[in-house]
Amino acid sequence: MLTLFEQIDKGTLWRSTGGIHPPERKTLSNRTQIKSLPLADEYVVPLPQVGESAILIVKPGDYVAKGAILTKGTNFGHLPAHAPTSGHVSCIEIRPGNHASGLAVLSCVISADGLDTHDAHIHPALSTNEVDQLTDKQLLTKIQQAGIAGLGGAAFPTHIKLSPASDIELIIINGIECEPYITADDMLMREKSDEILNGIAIIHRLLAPQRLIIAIEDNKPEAIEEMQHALNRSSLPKDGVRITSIPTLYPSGGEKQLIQILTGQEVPSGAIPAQLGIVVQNVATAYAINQAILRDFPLIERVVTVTGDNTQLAGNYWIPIGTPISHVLTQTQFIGDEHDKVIIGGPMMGYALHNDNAPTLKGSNCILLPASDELAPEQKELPCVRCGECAHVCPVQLLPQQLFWHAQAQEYDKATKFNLADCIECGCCTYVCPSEIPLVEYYRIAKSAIKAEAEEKKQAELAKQRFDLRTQRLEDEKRAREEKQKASAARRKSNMSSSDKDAVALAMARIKAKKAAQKAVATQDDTASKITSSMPETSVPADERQAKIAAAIARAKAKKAGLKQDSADSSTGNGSENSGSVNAPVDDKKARIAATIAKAKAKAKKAALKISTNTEDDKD
Amino acid sequence: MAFKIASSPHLSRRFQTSTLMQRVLLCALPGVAVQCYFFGWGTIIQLLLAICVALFCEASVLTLRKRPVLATLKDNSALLTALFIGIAVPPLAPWWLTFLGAIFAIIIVKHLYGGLGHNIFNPAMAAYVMLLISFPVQMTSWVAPSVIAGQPLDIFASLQMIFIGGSQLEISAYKMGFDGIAMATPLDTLKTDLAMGLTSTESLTKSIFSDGYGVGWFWVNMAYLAGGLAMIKMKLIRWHISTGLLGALYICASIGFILNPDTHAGPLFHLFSGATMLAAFFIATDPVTAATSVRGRLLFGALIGVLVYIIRTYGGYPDAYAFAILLANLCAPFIDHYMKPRTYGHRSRS
Repeated sequence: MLTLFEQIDKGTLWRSTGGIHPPERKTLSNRTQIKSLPLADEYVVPLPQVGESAILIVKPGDYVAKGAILTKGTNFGHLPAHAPTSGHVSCIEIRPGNHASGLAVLSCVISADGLDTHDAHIHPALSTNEVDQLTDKQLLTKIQQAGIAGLGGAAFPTHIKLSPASDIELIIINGIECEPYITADDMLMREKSDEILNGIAIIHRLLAPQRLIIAIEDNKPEAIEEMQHALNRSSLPKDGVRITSIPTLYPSGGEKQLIQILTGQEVPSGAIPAQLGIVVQNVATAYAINQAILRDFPLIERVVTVTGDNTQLAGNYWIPIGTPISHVLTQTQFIGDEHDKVIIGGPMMGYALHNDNAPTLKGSNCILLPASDELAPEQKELPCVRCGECAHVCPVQLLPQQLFWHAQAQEYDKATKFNLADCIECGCCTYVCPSEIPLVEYYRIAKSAIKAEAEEKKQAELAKQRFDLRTQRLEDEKRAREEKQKASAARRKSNMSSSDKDAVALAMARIKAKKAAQKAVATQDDTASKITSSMPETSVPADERQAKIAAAIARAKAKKAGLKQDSADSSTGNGSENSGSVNAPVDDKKARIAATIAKAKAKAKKAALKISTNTEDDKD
Repeated sequence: MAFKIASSPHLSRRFQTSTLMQRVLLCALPGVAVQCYFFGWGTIIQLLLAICVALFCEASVLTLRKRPVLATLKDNSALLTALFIGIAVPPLAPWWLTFLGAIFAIIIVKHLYGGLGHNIFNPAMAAYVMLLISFPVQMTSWVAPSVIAGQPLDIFASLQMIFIGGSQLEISAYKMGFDGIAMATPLDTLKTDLAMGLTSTESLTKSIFSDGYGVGWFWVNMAYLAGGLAMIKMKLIRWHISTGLLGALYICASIGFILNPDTHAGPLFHLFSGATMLAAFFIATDPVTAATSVRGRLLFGALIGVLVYIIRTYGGYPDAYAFAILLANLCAPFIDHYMKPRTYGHRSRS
């Protein structure tokens, strides 16, 4: 049993599942050298990171040289944007983006001065010795400052990929370029093989792998030959580095598929190749690394294939990043109209651009300008007959017809069970579908619906958490309040019991006072007048009833007394202040004196009580 | 400038269902031709009748369902169903058998389930089973191969037989004894003989088995086999279902033959008699009603093979493809559910 590395050294290839052989049509653009286009009047550099992880360091009106930095990063993942040519910043505003959605992005618009003056940092190449003296950290910083992103299409920051958390045993340099029409990497490998190898050497030094494979599809024999010569000339170790030609099959250039073909391993679902100890880099990225390290030349231009029957000058061009597509179309003699498509990328995975005001990006490797009858004519979608051809060509072994069935019925949970998330949207299923069903479109819709659903779920989860927290808080508050209430109630209870005693004492005091008054009346033989005058004095509201009762009793007594007096003195009195029906005593003076005495006594008692009580209102 | 937008991929193989069905039809033609050669004009008449009725039914239902009629007729699916009904009914069966079969297949089995792509059962086979159960006598009175019958019926006699003369009594009479026009199929004969206590070797000495497989049937099967292989070569069908079916049938027949050669026909007899090759390459592979994954298809085919052997050997009917295929159709969603391929990057099926 050979080890993996022994098998790699032998050139063993593994079988990848599925795949298709669409018409390549690469000769349309790979017959001529890479050319340059005349400068455009203005360049539009999108600044998607500004506001999130970067800040602008230029303002409208500023002069910028070619390669000058426009943004400064605030975190590790940041990639600076650079001026693609010299000129003045005319404005910084929202411009149409180069994206399938057509969404506008914040962009720095530079009006070119036509001189294309280099930034002072850009210099003629360093020697390899000078490069050797740089530390890894310096290399990575240079790569980051040059704004290098993966040029295969995904545009992932390269310095992050080159500083993995775990050991890398195998580097794969991807020169597959399996999409039909595109020849940008092919031509770059033919023309800049030494520079690419220099870039590869830097990657090799940074990651120090056991093996490095430069993989090229066998439909590019010239590129393979050039690269082989360059490898022989380079300083890379000959035993651990090899060029492997792999059979032409779409989509072998996909990262996961390429790893499967070259190593027989599969990147676990949801993981990245680094977890297998593998890093994949595109050949164009290696070239950009060479430029960044050896010349401090930032990533401001790339090779773009402009091809299709709607252009009269099909070929590959060095196009500055930020060049308006309309400029490219004009310069390459676009002959189509608004009924035609402008596709960014290849015919399998590229997206149709809605507006040609959008600029080229780092990941734009191809501008495909097909004539209306060149690609698939628009067909009416027919019912799926479950022929299973889609499953046969699926490179990740999904069951596309089942996914379609569930996606169409919006049964997203079932589609998820059929591993919808693993779909790489390569388009093989749609390509072979005899019913012309736009399967990938269905999957994209389903995926975004699932994403939205997950987001909604997350939001709902958050809302629930917030609700639970609120409920918890309210409950806590309620409990705290209740406890406080209980505590204060207990305190009050203790207070209340004492005031009860006080009240009893007070009542007793009043009774005593009354008795004293009665005594006084009795001694004076004039009760009624004394009581009636003392009545308003007991004005404490809590005692009102008692007072009233007492008053009533007093009145009754007074009546009796009055009657007694009537019978004794046979004299009748006037109505008193309180009740007209009660006959007032005749002897006013006596009564008043007695009342005053009683009043004074009661007052003295009350004052004494008041000192020891808090509030009498609490009782009620 | 604003441009047209569309979702990727922008390329297509430009190979549509209609072309696929058309090519399947073409691949079936050699088999149909051989069948006509051995069994006379009846086959062609039934075929044309079935096609007319099927297309008419398809068009009517499409009109009722407010679907595009001409565009849908062009997908050739109704044509293919009609072809299979036409070659499955006995060549001299009364016209109304084919008529009923085609109506049943298109209206009930196909469109009442939702039309192309939505039917659970293979329309031709469901129609065949309906006819076989409802009219067993007519459906089992196969015409004698011309090489045995001597003078074959000409086109007018065939027309007369199908549209006027084929009364039930008459056909029953034909079935009772071999009278030059109608007779039981070889499989039926063998089954009857085995039931009567003859050994398979004794039965196979009869004139109907003169070439070892049943006169005519061997060549009919060979022609369908050739058409089937051509379809695999042209990637109109994949090999899994056919291989599963033939493999399972061969293995079952071999086991039976080894255990008791007297009461069981040999594996090659099973492979080259009755509707084996037609079913294996043209009917069981109907994608709509079959399983879709690779392993699922192998299992689906094998299931049909085993069922056919069991029904042929132990069941009440001489041939069994229609039953076996319908039973397998029932299992297809179940098979698909449990035979998912392992997706890239996933350890095993969960």
